[in-house]
Amino acid sequence: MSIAISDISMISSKFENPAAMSQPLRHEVGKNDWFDPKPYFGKQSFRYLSNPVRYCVAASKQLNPIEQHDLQRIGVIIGTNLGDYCVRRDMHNTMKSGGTQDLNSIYVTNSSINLAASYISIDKGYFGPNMTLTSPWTAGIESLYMADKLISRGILDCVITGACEDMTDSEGHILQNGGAGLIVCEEVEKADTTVEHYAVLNDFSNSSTI
Amino acid sequence: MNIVGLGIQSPIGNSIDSFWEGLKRRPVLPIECKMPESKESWETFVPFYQTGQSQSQSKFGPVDCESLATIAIQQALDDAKLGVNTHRIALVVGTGAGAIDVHESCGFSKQNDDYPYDFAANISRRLGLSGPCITVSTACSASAYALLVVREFLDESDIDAVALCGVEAFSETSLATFKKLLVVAPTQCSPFTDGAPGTVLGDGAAAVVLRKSKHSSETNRQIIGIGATCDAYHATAPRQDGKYCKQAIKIALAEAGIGMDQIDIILPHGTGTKTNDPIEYSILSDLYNKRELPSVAIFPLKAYLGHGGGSSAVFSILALTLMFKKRSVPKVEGWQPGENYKGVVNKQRIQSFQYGLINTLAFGGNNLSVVIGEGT
Repeated sequence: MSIAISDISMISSKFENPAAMSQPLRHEVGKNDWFDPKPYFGKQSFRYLSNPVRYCVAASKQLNPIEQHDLQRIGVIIGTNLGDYCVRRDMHNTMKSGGTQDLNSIYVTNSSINLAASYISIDKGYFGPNMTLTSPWTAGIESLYMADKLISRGILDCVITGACEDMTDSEGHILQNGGAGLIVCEEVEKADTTVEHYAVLNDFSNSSTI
Repeated sequence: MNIVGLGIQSPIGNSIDSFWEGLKRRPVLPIECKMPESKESWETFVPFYQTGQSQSQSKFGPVDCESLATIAIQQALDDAKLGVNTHRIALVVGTGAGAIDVHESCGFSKQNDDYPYDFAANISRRLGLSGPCITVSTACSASAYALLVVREFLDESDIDAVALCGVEAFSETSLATFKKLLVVAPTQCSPFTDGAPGTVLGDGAAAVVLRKSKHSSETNRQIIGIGATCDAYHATAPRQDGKYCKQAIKIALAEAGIGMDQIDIILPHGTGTKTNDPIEYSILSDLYNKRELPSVAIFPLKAYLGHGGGSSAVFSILALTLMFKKRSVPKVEGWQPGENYKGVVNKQRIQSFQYGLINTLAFGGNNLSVVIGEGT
């Protein structure tokens, strides 16, 4: 069975979307204000979402609609290592200075690192397995590995894979570049034939360095 | 997937034998711990089931949750007596919040040199395992979702065995999240009781070693069905109609090739919260095509360990494997399932010890169900 990469999308501090990669780099910005969620979410609905969730859902809104698959056979697998780090750090600081009563009871749910992947499924109504992988550096590529396997096994027809990160200090300065990148994997035979594929997944190999 | 080795570091025991003994004596109250409620009243107490720190024989030094996981995996590998090259052993870790205990204790000051979810690689290094390793973090179903990775690893030609570990740390931010959602009980976790005030969190690590079905195993238990779905409904609440949780159980049963009426015992998600228990109860009843559950043996493991977050699925696999091996279901002391949960029974005598069902739900609606059966 062949698995195709049929669509890609991206939100990052360097490029607004994949098409922008052919254009000059955006200027480095010191404050974490490079991303405007309003075009993707409207005025309000992003308010209680953490940055990694915003990046992921916004990137998923850049993707072409997936119409040819049963919604129960579309999965989401996202790799992230720091998806909850800033949320938990800010919660920790709030609890130290003011106590738990100062925490926002909706925002605290972002401390669950799987919410970026979950919100893609919630937003799009995909009922297939929804998974978050968290190994540092490799979680993104591991999400491709698992997508390949779950499609090959016949559990899913299509998987939105990818990665998201956010690393700002408590004043909102960027420590490491954040953003999200998504890759849609589909079984070639079941993919939309009117769209040209970016690539076909070939093989994976993994081990631990000890 | 044969279950060939078990290891545990839990609030009720730090070895398989002591854990089994612990299941016979339900702790009356969990250990209380401090919770920073406000800067003025830092001393507010909340209950928490904590894994004992009596690790004096441990060769791994001070006990953080990564060390608990390392010890549990080493126990499981010792128990499995694999006798295979360590580069043919893969490792999959399921955890809700990773090494959050380390980051909280140092006030999130180590930013770049210590990654919060580096369990799989770190533990592989500590145990000298050079097969592939992956960390899975789908909140409270993390170590259940990890089974999807385990199954793929076991199908790789260069892997002989996979160690699967579920681990969760004590975390004040996780505790604060549950408190803000108003689901933390003031005293004890009592799933499926009327008016249950909520859940109590717990920490610890449980590990199992799995091999391909063709290998014989001492426990003679296999994972024979896995079903995974997503509610795609809400960040923290399960779907009211439970449709996709039910679907996950149906997929697991279909893969196992059995019907719901063949399940001898169920280890439910059973958190003791108003959001989980009524919905899970109606899901299970529906699967029997009944409005009320027909008298089914239900074992509420969280009544002993609290809610171990991402670790809870492996704790359940381990407890179920032990019950099947010993052909006995421990009596849950002081647990009286409520009037609203007719048919939920703490049975010590069940007809056969052939099939067990484990159900997990999670934030984000990440559902996964597992069927465990007898080895062939």
